[in-house]
Amino acid sequence: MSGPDREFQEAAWLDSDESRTAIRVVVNGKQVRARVPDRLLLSDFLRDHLGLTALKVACGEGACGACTVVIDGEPARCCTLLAVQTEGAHILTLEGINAAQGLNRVQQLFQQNHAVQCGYCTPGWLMTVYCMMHRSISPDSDEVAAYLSGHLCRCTGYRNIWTAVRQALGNAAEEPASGEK
Amino acid sequence: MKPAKFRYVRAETAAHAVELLCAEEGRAKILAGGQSLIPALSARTTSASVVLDIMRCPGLEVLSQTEGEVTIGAACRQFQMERSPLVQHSIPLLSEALSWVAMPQVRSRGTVVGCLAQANAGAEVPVVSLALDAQFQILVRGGERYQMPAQDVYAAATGTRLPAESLIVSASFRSRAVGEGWGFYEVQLRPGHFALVCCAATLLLDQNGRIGSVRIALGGLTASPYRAERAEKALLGESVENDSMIDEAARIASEERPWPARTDLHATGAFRSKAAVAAVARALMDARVRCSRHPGATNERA
Amino acid sequence: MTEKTPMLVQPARIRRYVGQAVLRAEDECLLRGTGGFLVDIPAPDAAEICVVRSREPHAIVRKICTDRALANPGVIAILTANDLDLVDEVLPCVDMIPGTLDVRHRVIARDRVRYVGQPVALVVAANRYLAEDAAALVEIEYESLPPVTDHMAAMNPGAPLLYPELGTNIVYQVTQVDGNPAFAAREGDLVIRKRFEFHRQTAVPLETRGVTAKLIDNGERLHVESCTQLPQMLRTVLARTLGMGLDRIRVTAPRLGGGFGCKEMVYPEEILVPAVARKLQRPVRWLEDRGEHFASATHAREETVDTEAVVAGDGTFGGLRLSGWANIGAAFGFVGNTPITAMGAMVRGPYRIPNLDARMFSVVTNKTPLNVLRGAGGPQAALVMERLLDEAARKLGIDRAEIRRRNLLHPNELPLDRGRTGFANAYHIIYDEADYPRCLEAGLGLADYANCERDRKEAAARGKLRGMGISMYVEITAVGPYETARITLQPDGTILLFSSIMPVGQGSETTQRQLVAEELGIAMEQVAIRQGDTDEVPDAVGTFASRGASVGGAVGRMAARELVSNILNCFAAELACDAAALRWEGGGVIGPEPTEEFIPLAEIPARLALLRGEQEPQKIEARYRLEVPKPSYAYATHIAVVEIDPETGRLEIPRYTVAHDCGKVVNPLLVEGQIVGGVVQGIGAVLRERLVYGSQGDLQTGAMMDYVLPAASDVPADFRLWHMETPTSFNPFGMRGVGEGGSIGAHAAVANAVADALRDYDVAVDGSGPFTPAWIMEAVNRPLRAGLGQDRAPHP
Repeated sequence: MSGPDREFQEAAWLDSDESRTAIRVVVNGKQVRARVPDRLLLSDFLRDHLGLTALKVACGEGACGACTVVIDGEPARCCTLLAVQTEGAHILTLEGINAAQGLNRVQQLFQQNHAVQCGYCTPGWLMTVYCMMHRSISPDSDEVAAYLSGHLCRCTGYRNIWTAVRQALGNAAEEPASGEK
Repeated sequence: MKPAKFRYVRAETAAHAVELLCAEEGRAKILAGGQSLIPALSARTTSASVVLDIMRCPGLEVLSQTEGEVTIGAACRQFQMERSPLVQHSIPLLSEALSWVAMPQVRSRGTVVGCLAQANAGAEVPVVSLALDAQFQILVRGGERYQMPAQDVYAAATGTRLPAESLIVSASFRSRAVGEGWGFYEVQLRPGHFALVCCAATLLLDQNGRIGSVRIALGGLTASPYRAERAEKALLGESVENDSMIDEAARIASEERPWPARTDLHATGAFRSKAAVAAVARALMDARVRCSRHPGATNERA
Repeated sequence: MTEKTPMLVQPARIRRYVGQAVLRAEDECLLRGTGGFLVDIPAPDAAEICVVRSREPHAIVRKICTDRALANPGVIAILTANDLDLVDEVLPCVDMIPGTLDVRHRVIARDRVRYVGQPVALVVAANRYLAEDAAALVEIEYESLPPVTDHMAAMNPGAPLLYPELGTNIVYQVTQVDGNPAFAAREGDLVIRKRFEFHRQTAVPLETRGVTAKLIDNGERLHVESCTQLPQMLRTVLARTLGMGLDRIRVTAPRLGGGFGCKEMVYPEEILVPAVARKLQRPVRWLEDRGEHFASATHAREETVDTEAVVAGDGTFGGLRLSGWANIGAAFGFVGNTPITAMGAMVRGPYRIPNLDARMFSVVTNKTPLNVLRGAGGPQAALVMERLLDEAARKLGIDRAEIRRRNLLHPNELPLDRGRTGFANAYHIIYDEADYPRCLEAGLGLADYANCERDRKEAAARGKLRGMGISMYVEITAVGPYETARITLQPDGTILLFSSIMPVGQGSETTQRQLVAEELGIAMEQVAIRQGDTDEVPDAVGTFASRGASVGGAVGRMAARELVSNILNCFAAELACDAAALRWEGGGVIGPEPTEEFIPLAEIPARLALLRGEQEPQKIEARYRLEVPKPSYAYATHIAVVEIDPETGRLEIPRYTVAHDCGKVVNPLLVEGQIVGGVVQGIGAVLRERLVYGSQGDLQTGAMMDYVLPAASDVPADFRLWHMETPTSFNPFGMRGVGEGGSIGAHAAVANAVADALRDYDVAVDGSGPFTPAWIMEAVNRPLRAGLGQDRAPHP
């Protein structure tokens, strides 16, 4: 992304009498200005128009968690949000917490524990784990199960994800500042 | 699964929202958290000419406490209420019930009042509103505001009795009395899925250590939630240690349902009517554990 | 009749990678979110397609009117069958044995629709939002016909016929017999008759389907991208249906976000989207959303099986007679007849049962076409056998473990020919070397079977009904008929393997790289792998039937072996010596005596260039085609413990045990991941997952919240896993497949555990449930079983 005023790619919506609304939103630390169709889902705004393709839309109804991002510090689905609703919000996607290269500590724990198989659901989990760590959720807390209930994985059977998440939460105090831009 | 066209408007005030609702003659939809509305628009099972975002209306974000009640504004999000020390202290039943609503990643956006308005079958917050004698502050055309008790709102077999083209600006819940116990129990297919049945219960003992005040509200068994008033009456004056009385009350609570037990993809009415008995019994037992057994409890609010 | 094939000689070497829990290099891009799935591939010029799908389960299409839709903003075109210049409209089915009626799926509906979700028209627009707007305005005039959704009803005279010209809805039949199929019960034998019902499921990979198509090479060629487990098959079908030469079509498949069998298919959209690109002469894309996925991605598992088992007084099964009918939906899936065929082929599992008479049928109905799903009929077969065993144990008063011991085949009886099967390759089911009794004992010990009654009493004191269920299965894996691989020593000294196996989550890239690196004696980091591009791998069988490591890995390794031979020949030519004077060791060439110079792999291209007097190093290539005449068979013991709360119908699985044999384990981390993943899928299938059709043929489960997948709370907290490795002579490296077994064992183990937990109630557990809270509540409110205490099987 370059510059504070990003031209929204209008071509795909030409000739249509869509109503549009101007929004300003901070995405991965950068100010984004755009004039978007009112009905544009946040998931499509982030993926198609800002090129942030880590998040995936796997159900479109908020049930599976694959589209989870962080909005104003809380994990949220972006498939059940309109882009226009996020005026003034701070949005964080996986691209915003990745290290400059390689894997951050949580990602390493996922790899080491074989908590990734096809990888389609993975970015969503990582955003929830990010939020859990920022709230200093303890690995033994009931809240762990609650947060994990918000994500579906069809491949792993979850066992290794539990392990990776508990390990990530177990030494949360040691987490260095992540690669936030 | 993309929504059809609509116009998005950020309502400047609650009155402005109602004005626009009326102008669109039933084709506009209120947008708060959107966790029910947006998926429905995406699936095109519903449509809207205008989507009215009320999240920035002044005053709707307020959480306040007055004598005997806690008032939650329409823009208060579920996760905020779940974690609020005020809510946890004064209306802990709501805080606990909120932990059962969907998943944390949905509660980050959804609102408490939105749940009340949406009134999905089995929804937890409407059940709590019945158990806590909630009053909804409704704004209608022309700026008129009035109160509507939850029991009136959910008096119909399905949906709500809220007037068309109205806005719930806030809901007030009865604060926990000193010594009052509360309990919430939900039967679901698995965490993160809907309630098949759920029960919210409160218990307060009188100075003789007997049940002086009790509320039992059931959701999911029928499309609309209801208060099990016959079961409540059966418990009044009884000893709270009387397990068989609690079981009996649970049975009555299920049987007294004003509408047929609900059958859907996930469970039969027959199942729900039996599971409801367990849900009520377990909610009452949790309330019992929490209520003060010492006589001399007053009606002083916490 | 049995035969033994000598094992290929293993070169003696220090094991470096095989058997190691190597972490997956592909995880880096997946964890950073740069996985490169189809949906992530930029397609800035592509128009978006929305498929208009039938809302009628069974109807004549009278008219399609597109005027209103065409006038909508952003619409580029709307196409129906006549607009697409299709030369052939039939999609393939590879299990049509002689006598099968032709109900292959058509690419697009013309005059008749046969299931809700069937493609009828295509809207092409600037983006998906606008395409859906227009699709809503396409007016289709249907003349409704009566639908039939129940496969048993579909066989009745007078039932609506999906294909009237065929005169029947029964389109496929196959028999599997062994021993004396006319076996009869003798005096004193127990005869058990049971009907089993298996409910309809679907795969639900997290990644839905998608297809892009564009013209390349100055419009001469068509490049199609698709989420498919079968890119080479797709190219073949495209050539046929579009009437284009194979060389004019390139198919690429990116890594898949799960498949589980529903992407082992050639779908209408995979032909329609390229046809649109060709017609409109512009790039197009179709991304499936979840709502259409439930209706249009293949379904699975639905069948009814009638059984009759003859059991001697000592619990040995003398014979099994069965009839099975699969509800295959409106048309053949790519391997739509395989699951029901597997019932007869695999029902006996590891048990001797010398006499078998199995007749299987496929029945068309107005539902989405059926295909394979993890286990491909194995879950149903194992459940039938394992329930019959428990039922026989109960009636005869024999311990459930003991009755299995008495029926298990012993190692000295193997290999064993179990008879000719109806599978497309028409091979015999020949069980390879195995030790089923050892596998059973290991499972029983690990699961603490000996204390299951004590645990049951302890749970009862807590108000819970606890049960333990045993299952064993044998699974066809590592299937042929062949597989190919190509491997190159690149000019820069690295290795590039072109594989026929698609990564769907199973870690195939890592497994194959391990095998190649081990074969060559080099570091894994020197091995790169590519797959899914028909320009690079034009001929392959594909990714299914748990053959990725066992066959795909094997052929990669053989190709590496061939590469070594080619390299030695190159050196022999340049050094003017016999190839036998050279050898490969330690990851490089050892030159001839007396110097015996060592040239590591990375330096070989440069050294050869030097020897040849060439400026630029050249690549060296090898190809291999591995014939796989006989699949190898994986097997396992699964033991599930369930605890039921009779007041709420809630079922938990506190402990789950697997003792399994997949032969030589290449990567134990990945093997374990496949087993746990498969088990949890199986648990979800029998506890909650269920596709529901209304009586009018309408699909009522069309969203993620309707079709309830297992979540993190469902993985058994106490999961016990144990490997054994019995080498198999049927695979060149002793490997058996492992991808599907978890699902196969779990259906039967959980069903048996539920039956055990509810043993005091008069309830039949005769199928896959699902055992929802409502099902359980109904079961525990039934009367208690008559004769309680009399015929209860003794327990340890």
